[in-house]
Amino acid sequence: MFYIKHFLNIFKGNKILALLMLVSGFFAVTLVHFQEDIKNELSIDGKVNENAYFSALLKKNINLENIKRRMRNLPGVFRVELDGEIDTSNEVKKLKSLFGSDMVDGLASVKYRKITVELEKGIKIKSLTLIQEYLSRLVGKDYVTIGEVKKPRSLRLEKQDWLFQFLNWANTYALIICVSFWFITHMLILKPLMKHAFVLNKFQRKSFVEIKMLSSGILMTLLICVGVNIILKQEMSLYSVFVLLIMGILPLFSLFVIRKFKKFSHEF
Amino acid sequence: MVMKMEGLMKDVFSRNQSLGRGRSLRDQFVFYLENVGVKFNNLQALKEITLTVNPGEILFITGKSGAGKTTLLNLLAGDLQQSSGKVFGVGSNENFVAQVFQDLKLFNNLSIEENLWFSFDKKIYKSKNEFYSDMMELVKVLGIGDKLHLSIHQANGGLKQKVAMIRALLTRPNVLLADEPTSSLDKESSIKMFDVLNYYNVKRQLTVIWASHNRELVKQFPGKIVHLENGKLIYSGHACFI
Repeated sequence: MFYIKHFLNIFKGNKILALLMLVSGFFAVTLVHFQEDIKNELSIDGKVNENAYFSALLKKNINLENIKRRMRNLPGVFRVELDGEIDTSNEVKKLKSLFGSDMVDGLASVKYRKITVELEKGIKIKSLTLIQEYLSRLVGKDYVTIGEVKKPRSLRLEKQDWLFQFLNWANTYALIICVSFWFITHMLILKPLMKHAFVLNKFQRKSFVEIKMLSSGILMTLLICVGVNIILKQEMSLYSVFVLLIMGILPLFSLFVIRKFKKFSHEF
Repeated sequence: MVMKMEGLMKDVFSRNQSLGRGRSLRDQFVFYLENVGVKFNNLQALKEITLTVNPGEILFITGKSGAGKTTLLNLLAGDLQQSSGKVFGVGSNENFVAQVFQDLKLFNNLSIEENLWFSFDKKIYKSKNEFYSDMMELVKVLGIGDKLHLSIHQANGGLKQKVAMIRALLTRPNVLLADEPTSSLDKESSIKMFDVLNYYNVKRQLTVIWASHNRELVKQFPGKIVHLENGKLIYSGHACFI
């Protein structure tokens, strides 16, 4: 408690540094703790829609599940997805304000659902037209609006692309930046810490004060960061423990090196 | 000679240890330096210094700027290693050495009182009240009782020196190393500060080592003088004979 109290005193005199240290520590711990979640969120691997597709709007009052099943059984269809109900009321309001007529009022009562039909790779245009015609016949011309076939942009994104590579490693880059910031702020706080510790060393019957102060400071900061993260996600991987150890050892090791190579113990 | 002295030292240590009683290191001398030299790169800061500091002694180290006074104090404080020669008594558990630094090493962002609380050690004081009464006693003697709330950066040089001296004395040391402790004080305040140290010297057997470039001032005080010139010990003896 004695050393933590004095470490906090240094924080008081170096508020910006202290804030930077806490923020970088917190982000580093969060990045490690939620590593998998962040990677999954950022990664485009497995999410790339490599097939061409078309969408269609269907009136809600037909048996959509039956249509979905029958479309799925068609040769050349890779996947069929039914989206939630589309609310047309806003669009109808806009039209009404434009035309000032009650003509469009009827549309507001019509409920639509979107169906997306994903096609297999290398499908011919003739087959494509047949699939669209089949859907039209199945639902009825008056109940369906078919959109054009789209080639997804993600098709152009190759695994060798820099964006793909960057997003795949973004978590690691961010972690390196945060740990570096954490380390630099500790290096900057060493000067006032050593001055403080020197006076304590000299005026109280204590030894290795700087090491004890830095250890307790690091432990306190990391415990706060880990504590918050554990509240958010109640587990901790071995990798997290390893990175936390590195984060704790790095500044302490630097302090040992500085102590060893400093000419005078009273210098700070 | 060196071999003989070293043998004598070993003999004293081993005799005391084997008997488990008798005179401790502190009873014989506080520091003993034998042909000590300190070198910084190409600069020889101290040359062949042989010196004995006895318990309860008041020793003044005089000399011009750059004569080696601060280097000698740093050596005695254990902050510096000698390049040659032997040093005894430094870092001993029996001696608690307090320092008044030339640059004072006070915390500018803290108040005078907060700076003084740095000396509060639970190993020495039974309670905070005990420390506080000691602090108030010293503060009153040196006439800064009404300035405790001031921040260090608001204090003048003389006030800062008084604070540094009080902080050192509050540690209840066996040895006090003071580097130019009165350089910013007038003669009257310097004498008052010496009186405080003299009181502690008599009351608590405090060994005082006081470095000063002002030989005329220290000649007025009772004690031993060691005069340094270019890192060499020129004179060692009573102040009145210099």
